[in-house]
Amino acid sequence: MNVEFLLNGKKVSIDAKPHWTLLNVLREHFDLTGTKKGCETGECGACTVLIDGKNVNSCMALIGSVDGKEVTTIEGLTKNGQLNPIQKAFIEKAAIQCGYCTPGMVMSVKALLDENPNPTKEEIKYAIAGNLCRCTGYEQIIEAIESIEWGGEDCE
Amino acid sequence: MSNLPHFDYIKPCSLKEACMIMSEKGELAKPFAGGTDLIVQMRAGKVKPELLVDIKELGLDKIQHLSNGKISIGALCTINSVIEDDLIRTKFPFIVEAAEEMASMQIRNRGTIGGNICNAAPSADLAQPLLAVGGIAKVEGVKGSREIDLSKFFVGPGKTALSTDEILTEIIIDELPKHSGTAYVRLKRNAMDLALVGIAASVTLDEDGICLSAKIVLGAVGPTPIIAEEAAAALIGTKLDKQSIEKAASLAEDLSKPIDDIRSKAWYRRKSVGTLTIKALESAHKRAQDN
Repeated sequence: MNVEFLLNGKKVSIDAKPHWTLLNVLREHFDLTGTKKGCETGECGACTVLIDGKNVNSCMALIGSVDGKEVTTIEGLTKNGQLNPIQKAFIEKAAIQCGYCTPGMVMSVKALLDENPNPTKEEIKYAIAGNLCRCTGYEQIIEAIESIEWGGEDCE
Repeated sequence: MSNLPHFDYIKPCSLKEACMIMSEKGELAKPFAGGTDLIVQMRAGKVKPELLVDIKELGLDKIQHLSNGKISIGALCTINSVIEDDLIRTKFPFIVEAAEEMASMQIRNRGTIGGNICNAAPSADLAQPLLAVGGIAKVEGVKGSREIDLSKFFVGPGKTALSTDEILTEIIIDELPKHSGTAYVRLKRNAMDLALVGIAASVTLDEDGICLSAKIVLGAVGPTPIIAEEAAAALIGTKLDKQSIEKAASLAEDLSKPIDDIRSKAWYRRKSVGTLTIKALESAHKRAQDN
């Protein structure tokens, strides 16, 4: 079946099988390997991307359900070679160790800040509860998020 | 490319078409909404549909205040859209409390209220508050639409009163009278965990603070949610003092039918029913006094 969607701002089209997930299509068809494959059951959040601005687990999004939607991956956050303020803050605060959770975590943070540019610590914890990190203990991640001065799309 | 088993996928243009397809295919077809439960079950090999019928874009995602005072929640509303709805937040805080406890932001952005109750997992959080408010489930099938009383919706673990050609379209809940208060309290280990026990309580007071009506619904402690009628009856006519609440909680414990499983032991669940019922009733009582 033919599926068309907007991927990081560009219109794409793919001849897909119904059982393919968005995660597989991103990694294997479009070579966008920033989005990670983890548990594939919606528990770990490593595969988090945005569909129409909302963060979702791409491992559970069947490709057919993505038709006509707007998908943003971690690769879509970098504009003109410049990292997004979230990415910069994660580096600045050493909120990355092994890095496997980072792309998914960053996407969840983008969804949070787009809705709520000044979240409280509790709101941050609630927003990233679906992104597991086994290295940092979350402290540096929360610090990084608290340090971001979010100006939305303009500052990206 | 994917380790999901092969299946066909169709996005019907109308509800009627969806029901026709489901009727033809029978057990081999499954309605597909958020996919947050179904995909997991399919990966585990627990369900093996030949066809997924994507119903997500059939426009069943509205929350409306009906002219008769009732509230209609479209079955395809995502969990987060229920949480963000001002009407639900103001009138039924315990629906929001139950929804906020569910899984993660990613799952709540995708999973639907209809999916949560149609999967009929004993641990499904939204069943308890919906049953405590009371109302009907509207379903559409090849023979037309029908209404199922919510109290008759859940038949067993993973089983509802729907037949294979039927699709849940909306949930219509009753409005609560003034001086009503509601609360949902849940026991779980961490953010992503399913409920070990989930208790919904709703109470309505008269002008003098006497309890006119009460509902207590117990989740994850039986094959289906348990409407603890005898426990709630112990509250009618009281001022919801400590003694009456404790008596209701003890009756609720007796009515629960928990099992041992990987997440908890039956005895621990039963004890927790008592403790959580007290917490839920106290919180609902406080809110009723403020309303």
